[in-house]
Amino acid sequence: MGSVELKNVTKIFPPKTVAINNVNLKVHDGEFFILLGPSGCGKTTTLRIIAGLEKPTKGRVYIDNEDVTDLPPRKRDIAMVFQTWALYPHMKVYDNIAFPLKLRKVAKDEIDRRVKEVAKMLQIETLLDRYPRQLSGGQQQRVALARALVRKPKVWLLDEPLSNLDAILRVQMRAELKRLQKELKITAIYVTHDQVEAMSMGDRVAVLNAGRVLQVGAPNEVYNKPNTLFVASFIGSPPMNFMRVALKNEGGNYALVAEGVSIPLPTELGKIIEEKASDVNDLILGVRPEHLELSTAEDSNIRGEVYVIEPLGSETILNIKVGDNIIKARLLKETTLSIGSKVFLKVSTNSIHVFDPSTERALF
Amino acid sequence: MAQGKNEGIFQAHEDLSSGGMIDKLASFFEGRGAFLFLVPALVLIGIFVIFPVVWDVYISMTNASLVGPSAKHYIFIGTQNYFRLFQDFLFLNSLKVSFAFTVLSALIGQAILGLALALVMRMEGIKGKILVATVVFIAWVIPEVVAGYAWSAVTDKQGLVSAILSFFGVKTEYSLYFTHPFEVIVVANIWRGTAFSMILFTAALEGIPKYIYEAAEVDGATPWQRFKYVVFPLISQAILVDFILITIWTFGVFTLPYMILGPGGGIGNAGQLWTLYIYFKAINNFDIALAAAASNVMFVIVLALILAYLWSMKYFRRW
Ligand SMILES: Nc1ncnc2c1ncn2[C@@H]1O[C@H](COP(=O)(O)OP(=O)(O)OP(=O)(O)O)[C@@H](O)[C@H]1O
Ligand SMILES: [Mg+2]
Repeated sequence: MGSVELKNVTKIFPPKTVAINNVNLKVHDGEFFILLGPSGCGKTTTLRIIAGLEKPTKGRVYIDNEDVTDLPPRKRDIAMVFQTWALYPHMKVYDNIAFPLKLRKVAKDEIDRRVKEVAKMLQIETLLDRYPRQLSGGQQQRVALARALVRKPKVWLLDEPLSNLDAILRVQMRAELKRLQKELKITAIYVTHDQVEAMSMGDRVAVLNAGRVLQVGAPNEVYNKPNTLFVASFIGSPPMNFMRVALKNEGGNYALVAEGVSIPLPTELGKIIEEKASDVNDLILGVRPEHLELSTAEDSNIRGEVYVIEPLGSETILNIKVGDNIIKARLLKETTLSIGSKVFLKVSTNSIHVFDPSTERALF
Repeated sequence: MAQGKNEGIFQAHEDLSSGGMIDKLASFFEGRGAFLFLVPALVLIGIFVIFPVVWDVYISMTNASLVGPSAKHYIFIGTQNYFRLFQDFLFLNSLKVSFAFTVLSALIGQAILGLALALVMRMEGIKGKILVATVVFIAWVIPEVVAGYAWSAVTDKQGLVSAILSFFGVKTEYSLYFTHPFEVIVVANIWRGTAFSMILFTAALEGIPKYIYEAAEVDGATPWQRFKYVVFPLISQAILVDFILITIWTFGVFTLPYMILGPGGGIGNAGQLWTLYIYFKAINNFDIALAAAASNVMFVIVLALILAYLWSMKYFRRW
């Protein structure tokens, strides 16, 4: 049992660093919840406020619908992986992992069983007899993770717990962590700035920037319907292409146009944009590289010429010069095109995004 | 570039220098030249440390006296003084007093109080802690003679303690240092020396990164558990260093008890530390040979204690 709620939480570090700004979040019981955002956006601060290591300047924190804002960390029944790991230097790995259980007076053989179990899962069972200083960074990080996972608290707070692992181990650990979380049904709040990790692990993702929560939703929701330019640009790899366009209305026939771009729009969509945009002649069109496909000249709605070709084995990234912009298209097969040749591209109106540059918000 | 044994520390200098002066200095240090630099220090140590020790050992094996004929013409009598010493009730008493004084006033009083104060200094939101720290410091820095006078005044039958006691209806007929000489010097020495332990422990606590406390807190440790499992082990080495230093100093304490009690150490010699005993023997009884023997015995005892501490150090800090 462990829902977490932040209501209007603001944290200001003296004199005036606003680390998080009026954050409202509701994490459901048993959910794998991701805090995603660039460096310095306030992820760690948010986690520390939930843990009780920082007092919010304003706002309240609830765990299981109980107001815990004034409770010290130990009374909140949480476990945390610190971004800096925070291992006890004077305890061996075994004792580091066992420490939270020892404090709760768990029986010795039960401690032993659980420490060994979690150590095995994280592939550190051969390191139990070492001191933290005798471990590599990735090993220390897994010890920190083990110390959190060995217990079954209301909430796990995980601050970039896999950031120091190599690619292969990281993928393995993601799967193990997710499996364990689903098996034990413990609420997890997971901080990362790696959007792939966020998409692959989270039940829901909150995207933060500059101390604010921009969007909260399931991974496919934030991917398919980003509500701001920032979310659109932060999620997806390679990132979304952006082009300045204008909305033209010729007797009820709407289209987004720019040099090399002419995308006819359904009437309803055109009307929505017309209604909401502060200036229909200055819009930002967003198209994901994976939504662009090669087409014939008649069917195309974007055209340009090949600028660079990046073959990546299973796929090819085409860099195409359209007007003054270089956009990327992701093709799933090899291409016969060569640099400088003309290309015709098609994007479905279902997969385009239009933003108002003055508010940076999506228009639909 | 020159290869061979003067790689290493001089390497960096070679890279920086134009190759002349520093190279020469380096090879000069590597040769016998270094010894020349040590000569002044060695001469001073010889005159002021080694010679007095040797002289002291020698005197302790004579019948030398401070005044009278044997002040000038003394003879070698071997280990007789040491036998006399261990038959002297006063000496055995002073050993006992010094041990009790060190354990109570330093190891228990100063160290525990110093640690408690250092912990309090780190807590947030405690009012008046700066004031307390200031008072503790003042006790440490005022001249020892002044401190001694202050303590005999405070514990006098017309002093502050008596005034406070009589306020609560307790009548004091005698001065406190007269009725409780040992207790008074123990408390005075705690008062005097706690600042050092406090500083040392404050530095040791500063050395523990904040995130370690936070991790312990998140893991569910109560303040006491945090101290027991995290803070204490991490400062255990500082505690040992503190013990070594305050043991040495406290065994050597002289001025403060002398100012309060005089060389006799108060009624029944209850507060006669071995330092007071030595003074008493040498100055009051003119028996400097016996005093020298006593100081040599104490030197060996203190040395043994320090070695025991150092030996126990290897059981600390295995991480
Ligand atoms: N103790 C502090 N005092 C002052 N400013 C702080 C403090 N801790 C964090 N900040 C500031 O608050 C903002 C948010 O920091 P936070 O550590 O939450 O970022 P983050 O999202 O975790 O970043 P990263 O991905 O780099 O770990 C930053 O601008 C940071 O400089
Ligand atoms: Mg962080």
